[in-house]
Amino acid sequence: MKHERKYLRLLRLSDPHKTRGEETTRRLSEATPDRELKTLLASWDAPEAPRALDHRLLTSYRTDQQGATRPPMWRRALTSSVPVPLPIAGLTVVALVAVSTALALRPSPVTLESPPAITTLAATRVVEMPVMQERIVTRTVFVEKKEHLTWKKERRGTVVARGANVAGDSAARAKEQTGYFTRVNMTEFQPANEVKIRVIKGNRSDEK
Amino acid sequence: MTDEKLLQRASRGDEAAFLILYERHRAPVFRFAYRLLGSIELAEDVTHDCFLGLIKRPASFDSQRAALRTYLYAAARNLAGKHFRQHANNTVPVDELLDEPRVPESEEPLHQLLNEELSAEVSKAVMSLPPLQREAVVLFEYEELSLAEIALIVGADVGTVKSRLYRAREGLRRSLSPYFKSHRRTANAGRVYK
Repeated sequence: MKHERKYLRLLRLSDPHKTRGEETTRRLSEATPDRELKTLLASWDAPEAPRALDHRLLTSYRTDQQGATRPPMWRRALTSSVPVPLPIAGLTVVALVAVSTALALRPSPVTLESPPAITTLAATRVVEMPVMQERIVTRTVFVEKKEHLTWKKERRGTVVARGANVAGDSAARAKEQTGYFTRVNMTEFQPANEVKIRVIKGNRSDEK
Repeated sequence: MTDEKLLQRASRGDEAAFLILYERHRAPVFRFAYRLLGSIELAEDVTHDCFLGLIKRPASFDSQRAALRTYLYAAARNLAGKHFRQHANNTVPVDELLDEPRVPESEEPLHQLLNEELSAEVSKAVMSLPPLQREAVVLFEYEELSLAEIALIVGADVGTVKSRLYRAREGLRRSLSPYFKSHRRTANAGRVYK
């Protein structure tokens, strides 16, 4: 008992902050008192933690907290994962394999081969097309007026005599039918849609 | 404010809460790491990783299971164990340590050595213990934890911890025997009667 009291005092001396009677008593019951060894061990003091450690740890803490900030929503959506129980994952894989095998073994419907797509484009060629222009044919028609029969009769004789070999019977026939005749053969004559009548006077010999 | 609340706030980015938490547990964690590893630099690394790991994975701490300090001790112990495994070739086997006295015999060592030298000898003796015995001694003798708390930290039952502690003390007594008063008395007496 005396020995225990001594050891208790020694413990109090070694650490003045730890004067909790209950704890010391508990420790006394746990360990065999060895005063000399205790005294010797107490001569080894541990150094204080260096202040550089504080700075280093604080820097590490700040870096860690900066890195631990939540990433943006889109990144979380892209990188997030959903935990799936292994049996469910296994069943899903088996089902996928079964479905794909069934689809692969099913007879495929007859499909017509589509013609190969024309990939080359036709070369563009510029072709000049002839432009149909309306051609106006001007013909001069001499109409013999009836009121000038007197001098025309005289002239007719000369004309008939002169063009007998040209117009022949057709001229005579035309005169009988229409009342006038021309010097040219007009059997295949097609009248123009637009008639431009130009009166040529006798004194203008250069008029065409 | 409790450690749990401070941890919650600190993990959400509350720097002040983190600093309070750190100030509260910094010294014991560093001390424990230093006495396990025997190096200020290594102890600094372990303390740093210990607190940073706590902030990164606050959910790994269960307040129902143990106090935060106990959790931090366990984390520091794991980190120190990683270091021991990486430098396994440098460690001394347990059997060799138990058979081999670390401190040379001397007639009056306490009169010759200064306090600093005694401290160095003690640290050498503790560091020469196998890691499992060393952590038991450090946690019990220096950090003043109960056997149950130590058992929780090292992941062993109380009986195992008690056994390690006993073997560690035996090793220390053997290593530091020249510094015991009883030993000195015996030595002096032997010298007188010679």
